[in-house]
Amino acid sequence: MRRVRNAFSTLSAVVVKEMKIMSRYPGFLFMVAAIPFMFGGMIMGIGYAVAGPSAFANFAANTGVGNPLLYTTLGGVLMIGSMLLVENTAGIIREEQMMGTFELHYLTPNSTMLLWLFHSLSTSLLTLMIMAVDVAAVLAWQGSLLSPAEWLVAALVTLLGLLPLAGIGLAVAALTVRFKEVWAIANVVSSFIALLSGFYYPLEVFPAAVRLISQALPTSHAAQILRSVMSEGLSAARLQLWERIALMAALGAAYLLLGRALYSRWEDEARSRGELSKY
Amino acid sequence: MLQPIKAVNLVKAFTTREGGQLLRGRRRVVEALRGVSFEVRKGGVFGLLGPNGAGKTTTIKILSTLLLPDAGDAWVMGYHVVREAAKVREVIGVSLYSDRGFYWKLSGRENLAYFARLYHLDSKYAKERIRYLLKLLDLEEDADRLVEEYSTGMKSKLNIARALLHDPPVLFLDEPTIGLDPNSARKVREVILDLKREGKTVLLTTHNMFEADMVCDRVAIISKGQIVAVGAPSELKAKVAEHKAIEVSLVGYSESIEESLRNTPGVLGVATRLRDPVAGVADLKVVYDSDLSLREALSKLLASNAKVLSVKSVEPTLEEVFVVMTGERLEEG
Repeated sequence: MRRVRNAFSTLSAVVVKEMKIMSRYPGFLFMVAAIPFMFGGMIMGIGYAVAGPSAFANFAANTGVGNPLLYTTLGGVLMIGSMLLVENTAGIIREEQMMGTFELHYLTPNSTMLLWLFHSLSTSLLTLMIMAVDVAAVLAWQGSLLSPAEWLVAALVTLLGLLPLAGIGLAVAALTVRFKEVWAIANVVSSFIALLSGFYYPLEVFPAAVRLISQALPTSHAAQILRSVMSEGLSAARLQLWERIALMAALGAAYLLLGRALYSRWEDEARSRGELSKY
Repeated sequence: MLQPIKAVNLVKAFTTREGGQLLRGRRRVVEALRGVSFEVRKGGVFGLLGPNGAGKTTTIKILSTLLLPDAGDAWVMGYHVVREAAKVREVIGVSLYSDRGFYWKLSGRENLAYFARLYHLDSKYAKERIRYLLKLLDLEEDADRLVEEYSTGMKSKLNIARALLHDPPVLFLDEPTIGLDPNSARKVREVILDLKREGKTVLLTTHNMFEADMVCDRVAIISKGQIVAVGAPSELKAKVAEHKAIEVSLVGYSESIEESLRNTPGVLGVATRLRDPVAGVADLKVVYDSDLSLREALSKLLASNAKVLSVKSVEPTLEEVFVVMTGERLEEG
């Protein structure tokens, strides 16, 4: 019981701290909220330039999507969320090392792995807030609203889609922090995730082998479920919903275990080599 | 009786890389600790006194479980630093940096509140404790300013406040006054003495002999990874009480001058601080045992190519102990 209470105390400490810091960068918050619209507008603009007035009809015929604004906004939110999550989680060790706070966390009576995962959870919560603001704006503009149950499923799916990326982020951190190249590798990894998750196009455009790889990314499933729930409603999406959620949970566990194994190995070695605080 | 801190024959070497562009350069092994042993009594302030690179921070990091020793053992409050690391962390407070270790976009109070929650302190107690520590360290007025606006002295004091949050019986302070203005440094030293009065056991590192003399009950002089002398400041100074020392300022320094002084009979130690390596401006501290040896040393200096700017006699301090023991100077130039 005490351990659970302590874990909640740590979680709330991290979330409160992260939210306070984020709130002191209003420009950053505006940027992450605006990017999904910017990217969506850019992609629709390219489509219009290529196909002319029939662009939206072509898009609907090829993808079955009748609401490209919602489609690209959701894609954009998930893309920015996944990039933030991979880069923040991968970069956190390096950043904390440079601030001199890494060792201080290590000295507290908490699992450092859990501490960094709580930081990732804070990033996921930020993404949820962005999603709520951006998607609500689009839905309200189009005169439709989601039911509370649909919002709940959307939030759950977003968390399930994004949190496993913390495992990938930790793995990147553990493998690259020693060479101080975390951000370069994290950017490449998050670009691959963006490419293969179908944030802006259906995965059917890819050959079968690439589609198979994309199925290993929880973000691909999250993107498909969210679009289905938001455009068709919860009842229409229900058939594949729970299957996919179960798959995402399994993928999540696998990535987090991988991240944990690599991170623990790095931490043990760093403690021996004197690299916990290297900057 | 249980000693709060005990280190036995600690050894640590690091592998570093030198040079290299795309690849990582050549490997070099640096021996940071070469068999360090000491004990700290309950309620005592123990100083590890030595220049940069002597092994002070490495010792603190091993004792605070942040670094694994290659060999040797250490205990804090009876807990082994490797086998019982989690227990050790519960009984220690650590201040490792004077100007880092914070979230710059949080205020001083918010930083402390964050770490208080990580230590699972009850929120009411934490609030009181933070208020008390901010007052103790003269940070009350600036508690709600963002840390990015703090001076180095304020950050250093905030670091000590953070180390004291969970009221640990043992404190490790790594260079707590480095880079501080005289007022902030004085405040930090007063706080250390207050902690001693409260019965806390403090291990601090410093290369400031005045600080070691003022706040430490016992001092270990560490050089090149080895402890060369341990004792109360008065005991250590007594070792050189019969010795005398001069400080010579000159232009045109060369290593041969230092070597020649060192080889003068009766000269016990020579240490140099190069103030301007290009012009060869340097201050030499020469510890000697008789007027005869002083005369010979001075004639060697006058016969050399260097131009002597000044010669003054200095009182024996811990620095003279250090020069005699290690042949190095303690304080940075």
